[in-house]
Amino acid sequence: MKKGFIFLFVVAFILSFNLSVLADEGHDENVKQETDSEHSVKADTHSQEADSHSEKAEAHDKEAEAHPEEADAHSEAADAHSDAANAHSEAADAHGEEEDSHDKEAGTHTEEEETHGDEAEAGDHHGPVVETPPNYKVLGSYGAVNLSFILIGVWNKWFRRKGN
Amino acid sequence: MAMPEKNLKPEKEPFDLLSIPVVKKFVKSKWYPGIFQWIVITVFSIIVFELVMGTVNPSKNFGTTMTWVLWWPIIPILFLVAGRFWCAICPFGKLSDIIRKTIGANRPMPKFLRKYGIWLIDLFFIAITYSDHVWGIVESPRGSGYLLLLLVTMVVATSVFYERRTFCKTLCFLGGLAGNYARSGAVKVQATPDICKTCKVQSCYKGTEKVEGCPMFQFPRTMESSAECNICGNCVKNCPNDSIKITTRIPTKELWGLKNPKLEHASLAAVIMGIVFVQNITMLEPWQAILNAIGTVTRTDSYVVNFTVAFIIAMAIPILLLLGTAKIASFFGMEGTVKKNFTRFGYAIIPLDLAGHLGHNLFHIFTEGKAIWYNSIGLFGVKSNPTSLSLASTPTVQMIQYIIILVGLVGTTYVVYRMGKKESFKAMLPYYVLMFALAVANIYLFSLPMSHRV
Repeated sequence: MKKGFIFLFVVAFILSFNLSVLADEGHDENVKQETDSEHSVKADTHSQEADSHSEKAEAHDKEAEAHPEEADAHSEAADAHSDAANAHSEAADAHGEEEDSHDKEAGTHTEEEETHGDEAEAGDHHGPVVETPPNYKVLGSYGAVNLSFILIGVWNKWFRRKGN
Repeated sequence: MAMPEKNLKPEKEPFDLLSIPVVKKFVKSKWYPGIFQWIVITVFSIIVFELVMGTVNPSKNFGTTMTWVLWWPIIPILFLVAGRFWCAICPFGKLSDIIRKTIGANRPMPKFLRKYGIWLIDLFFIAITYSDHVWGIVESPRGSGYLLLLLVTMVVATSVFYERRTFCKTLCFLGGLAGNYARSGAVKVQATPDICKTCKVQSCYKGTEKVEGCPMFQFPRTMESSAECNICGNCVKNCPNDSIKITTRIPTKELWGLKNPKLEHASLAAVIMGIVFVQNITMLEPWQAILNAIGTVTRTDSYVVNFTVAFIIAMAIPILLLLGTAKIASFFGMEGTVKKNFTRFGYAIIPLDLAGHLGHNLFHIFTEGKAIWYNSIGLFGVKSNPTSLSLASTPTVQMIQYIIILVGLVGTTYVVYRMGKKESFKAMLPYYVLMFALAVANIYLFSLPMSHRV
């Protein structure tokens, strides 16, 4: 028991330091850390880094150049995009949700601004998200299938067996 | 020569949780596990509603956060601490209970499911993991919602026709994982053989008028494993002789004492290791390079094709490694056939599986954990724009991940040691090397930068 407490104390003591461990090198580009408040601090440097990371981020930097008055807002957004690009790479494009959002990316500039603004908040790593309404066809199909099974059960238990 | 009786170390009697009067009263009451079931099914309903009707932004969707940031990471901890208790309070299980009680035909489980159920479970688990990567279920609230509704449909369909928890026993994708992890669990339900041998009612299995028999088709008197015990307490409630105990044990103890190891469980243990590798690798920066490399062989840019190849390779690697190790061990003098040793030592990977699963998912809970709070208060209309969702810094999380893997390695190594106690060290060496290599591979993957889930 005593050994257990000593072990817990040692672990708690070690973890109380912000230790850099093993492959911590390269964490400047680390997608894990970039979600933190570093977003705002490193915004400028990241918008440059984003060039090398993905075409997506490159496009956003170009946008920022084209609209210098909005550059600040976009550098944050590009930062978030570089996260998304790092994280998912091009492979993530295969995901249905993302495809939708990428298609919408080509929309109007004001739309992009809005979504980028949202994205700049911590925790968004998935690129611009375009809200879609619930798919009532799919939900209705689920409901119909489940209801049919329930009706089979009701018929089976309350009518067929009672009849017997 | 017989050992003098006084020199024999008496085996320590495991602690019976039911020896605590309050616990026994609670487990025997109708409140157990009902109170937990109703809480969970209520939260589950809100989660499904939010997934299919709420925002499609995974970072802000309550359902996504609760499912993939909270539930999925803590599930291995639950299995380790309390065996398959989660299955007792699972919303799908409760739904099945309600349907069977009201409109269920309660027919016997089909022979096909009885015979191939565990393989179906393995297949569903692999299929869901695969489809997550191909269609992005985890990152899509709608996708997650449809998956849960698909499971609801399967529960409804099986419960309308078949007895007990046929779905949980033979179809639930989590069943194989739950069974394997529960073998490492710290809690075990067991009957007292001396009491049971005089019993003629067997109400633990058959049930009584008030309480259903074991929903998982188990007979506590002969039950050797915790893999299929939900700790639902039905046997405790039904037993007229107070034969049932809920005892504590050293985690992983069951693994080296199995009398009838099965190939499907051992294969699943190895496959889970491969799936944990896939889960990790697809969230890492080199993933694109790996896909490109596969693309040069398949001569296509199709993500689905290249991912399928990567997925198959990742699942096959631990199986082939285990098979190769069994072969090498037999060269070094290990007794038994290669298949027998593959099956036996496949169970030894389970603690490392648990550690890998836990380590991977703790990353999500530590770096995205605040989303649970913000999205929960969001349900009540409280808007928040957090600057960060993380609960701990990356190095801290990595340190915890390494510690977890090391603990898993110790568990796995000890299981290997206990399994091969009668074998020579030379014959056991390939297994020690394999487990060490798997642990190193996990640690290496955790040392690389990883992306978030929501």
